[in-house]
Amino acid sequence: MDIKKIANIGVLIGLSLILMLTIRFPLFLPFLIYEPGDIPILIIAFLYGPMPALGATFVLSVLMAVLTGLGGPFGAFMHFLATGVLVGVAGYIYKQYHTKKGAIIGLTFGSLAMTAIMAGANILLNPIFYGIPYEQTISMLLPGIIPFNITKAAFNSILTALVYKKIANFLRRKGLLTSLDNKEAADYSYADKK
Amino acid sequence: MLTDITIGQYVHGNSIVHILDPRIKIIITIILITSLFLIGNFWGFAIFLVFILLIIKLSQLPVKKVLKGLKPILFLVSLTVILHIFMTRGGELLFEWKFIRIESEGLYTGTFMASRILLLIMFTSLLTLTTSPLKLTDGIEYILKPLKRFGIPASEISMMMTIALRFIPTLMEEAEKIMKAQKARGADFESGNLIQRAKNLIPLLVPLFISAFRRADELALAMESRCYQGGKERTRLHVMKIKRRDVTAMILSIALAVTVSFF
Repeated sequence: MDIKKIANIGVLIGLSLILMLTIRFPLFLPFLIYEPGDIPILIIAFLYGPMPALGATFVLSVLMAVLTGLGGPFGAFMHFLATGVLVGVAGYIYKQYHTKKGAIIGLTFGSLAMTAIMAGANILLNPIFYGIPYEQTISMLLPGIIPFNITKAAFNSILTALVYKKIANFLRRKGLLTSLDNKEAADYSYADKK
Repeated sequence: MLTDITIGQYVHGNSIVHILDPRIKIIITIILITSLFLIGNFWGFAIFLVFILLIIKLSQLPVKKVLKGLKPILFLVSLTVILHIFMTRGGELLFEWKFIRIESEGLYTGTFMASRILLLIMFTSLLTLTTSPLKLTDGIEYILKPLKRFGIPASEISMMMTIALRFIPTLMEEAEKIMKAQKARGADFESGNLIQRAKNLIPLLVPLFISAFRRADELALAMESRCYQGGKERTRLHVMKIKRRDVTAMILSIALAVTVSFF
């Protein structure tokens, strides 16, 4: 792994934490909190593919538990699961279809997969983690958990698409966007810039 | 608005708990969290609580700080207790008034679940309160090392963790600056409906991303010119060594885990 990639991913994880801490407001239920922390991780997924994005999600979840203590280890695990599915699916599809359409399809499927997985994870894990009875978790699904996840994923996907479009030119000039298909061009433009 | 968020919970200190090896502390935390899920009665929780209080005493942490860590989950915990008290049936009838009916089984399960989650959060926050984030990431790197065999780049992951930690204050300052700059131009981040609020984020996000990429670029250049290699040949300023106190702490924790799980 080259240094540039490590530095970029590291700084984007930091940015994700900042966004998570500064912009947060509850949606639907008081413990379901919207935060735009997924956006930098989605951008990692678009730039470098699904595996580095999953690694970044892991690091982010660990740091979240270590630094903020928000939700403790369960919160970190749920966050890893949610963001991991979203960026994994979006990154994988975008890697296969490296076009604007591929990005939109990837984000859509990522959001849907995240909503489905989180519904399942809540049903399975809420009784174990928080001791909330099984039937109660199911009754929270429709009014709370499902709309929350779909709204959060949709917001973050749309914001990512808009932000990515706007910073793409800047990244292209820096040779970041070409780094996936053409290593030499990337190195050249990096040297050229100085 | 941004300045009242403290990054990191670490409370500086020199106590025996602070100076334990971070790797040992992480492993102890994992073992004891697992044991919490094996506890079958309130005696186990009582012993666990005594152990937590002992650590707080040893580490000279302010009790307030430990309790503050419970705040984010308070809502879920009270929800659990309330749901169980009113919904779970069984045992003898304790209280009845019109449609409200409380039975002993519900009261028991509710408090049982609540004690478990409260103890768990308290115990994990002890780890982050007594270990600096830098030491924790070092410890995590060591624990991830065996995963290298499966193709997981442990040293790169820990480098990313360190970079992220290092850049949080810088990016925080940057975010604050950009927010103020955009507010001066008439941007509004705090009002409007959901869609409006999300839309208003774009003038904040775009410059923030550009500045993050710029910083990463500078960092990569600096690392490259200092011949950063990562992986095997990297040497450290602080080498972690297992000492006698670490072994003692480990043995004590395993003994505790076994006692409470099978009590």
